[in-house]
Amino acid sequence: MFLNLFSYKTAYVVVHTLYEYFEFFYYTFLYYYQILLNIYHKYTKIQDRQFIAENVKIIKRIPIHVSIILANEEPSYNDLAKLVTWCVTSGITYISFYDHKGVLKKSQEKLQKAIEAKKCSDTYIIWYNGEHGYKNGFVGRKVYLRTFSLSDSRETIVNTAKRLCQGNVKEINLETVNKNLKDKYVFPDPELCLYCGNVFTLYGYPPWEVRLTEFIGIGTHHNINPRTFVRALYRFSKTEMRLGK
Amino acid sequence: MSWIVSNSLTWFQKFCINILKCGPIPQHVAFIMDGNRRYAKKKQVEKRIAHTRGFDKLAETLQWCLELGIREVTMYAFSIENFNRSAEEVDTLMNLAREKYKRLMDEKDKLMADGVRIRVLGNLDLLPADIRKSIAEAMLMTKDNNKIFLNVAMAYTSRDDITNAIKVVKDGVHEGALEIDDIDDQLLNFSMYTNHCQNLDVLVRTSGETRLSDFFLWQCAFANVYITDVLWPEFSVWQLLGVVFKFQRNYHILNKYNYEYKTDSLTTRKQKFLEKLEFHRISTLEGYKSLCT
Repeated sequence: MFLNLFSYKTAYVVVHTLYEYFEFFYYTFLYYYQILLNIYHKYTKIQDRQFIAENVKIIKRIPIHVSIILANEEPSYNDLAKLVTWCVTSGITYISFYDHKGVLKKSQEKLQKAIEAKKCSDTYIIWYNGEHGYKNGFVGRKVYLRTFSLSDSRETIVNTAKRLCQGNVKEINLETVNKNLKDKYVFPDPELCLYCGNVFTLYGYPPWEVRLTEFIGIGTHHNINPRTFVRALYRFSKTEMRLGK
Repeated sequence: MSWIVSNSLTWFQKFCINILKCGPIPQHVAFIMDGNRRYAKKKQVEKRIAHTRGFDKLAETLQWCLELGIREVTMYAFSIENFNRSAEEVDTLMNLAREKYKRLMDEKDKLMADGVRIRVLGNLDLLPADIRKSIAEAMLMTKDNNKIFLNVAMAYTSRDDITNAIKVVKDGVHEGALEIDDIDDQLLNFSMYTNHCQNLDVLVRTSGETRLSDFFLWQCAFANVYITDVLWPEFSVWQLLGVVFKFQRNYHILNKYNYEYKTDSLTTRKQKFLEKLEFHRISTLEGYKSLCT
């Protein structure tokens, strides 16, 4: 019995160690592959934007709202700004960044600056700051951006519950909750969530919004390649929605 | 096939289970049982047969989980959205449920001996009265068991769950049992259908879909989601072992976070409210049970 347990424990350690090595080699390979791809892109002289614009033409369905989950990664503002320009090129109107640790939300200005340096002049970027921030008179495309963290998650539902309990709403049903939850919220539910890191978990992402969201992993956003982004869009457009039917 | 099946594992599978048991084991695993209809198409069998095989898989999976030491298992059997399917298919599914809940009562002795507690999560009012009656019977009969927990989500969607929790809390405020400032995430968590469930560790979705489809949106805040391409009736013990292995790999990352809610840390007012809610839920079930059909 004791011997048995001992051998199981040894086997457990062996299996996990072997996997650890396998994972290490796999990710090292991926890392260099990413670098090589980036170099290749530079030499082919195809602009990232052009590459994306050409691919988007073939993709049948483009999401309206894309959310990016940073997971455990430290934000790389330059790469995030790159992602924003790619989203804009693909015709995505709403882009949101979720960082449960709240680092990105605190340093939103840095991201704003990085985007400002990259964006093209024919788009107008509106940052969500809890109120409607519409500016009239701008002709051209408008893109909405927002950062949020774990404190915007269950807390939002709690606040909605408080509001509904105080007010004189007669009947509480799905629609009243939905309406109250999105009272000041100009963003529709995200259709696509791109998550960084190798672990698929929601990191406490606001629960109400992700009812039908597709979650697709992009590995890491550091040094992200347009191919990774385009591949995610392809995967998204291929899936058919059935809405329980 | 019955709910409690005998073990069909080979010695090698048992050996692998024993190895995995040396590490952390998830305490609560939920399954989105997707792919029954695609299975019917693939194997060219009737939908009814595919759904029956899906149920058999449920019983088998439950057995594997017990072997692994997973104490709580949740199965997403029927969503509120599923009522939108064709009347014929809804009927088939309801008949299957009817048959299986009846079977559950026949296997009473086995359930009680194993200490299985059955909980059906969802908006039971949407189900036919006779099914509701058998559900109430099963839930009341097993309500003091505490070894193994089997949750079946029927007529469930997560948005409905959250809405219902808000409704329950609102009633509490109106009756004067709660103050507005009492409302927090903890209270809402304990007002949901899943109020007695443990924190969810792993969510498994079969047939390769990467959506949560309105299931456990609140509950799976930090759960490890695991997508597998197999169709539910073809789910095998190896996939389950893979899920547990992945959970062990990610354990150090996921273990850092999680909402820790404990009923004993609540104020007496909230505790009283929750006791009342529990009493109310039990008496509703008793009402369903005593209904003549």
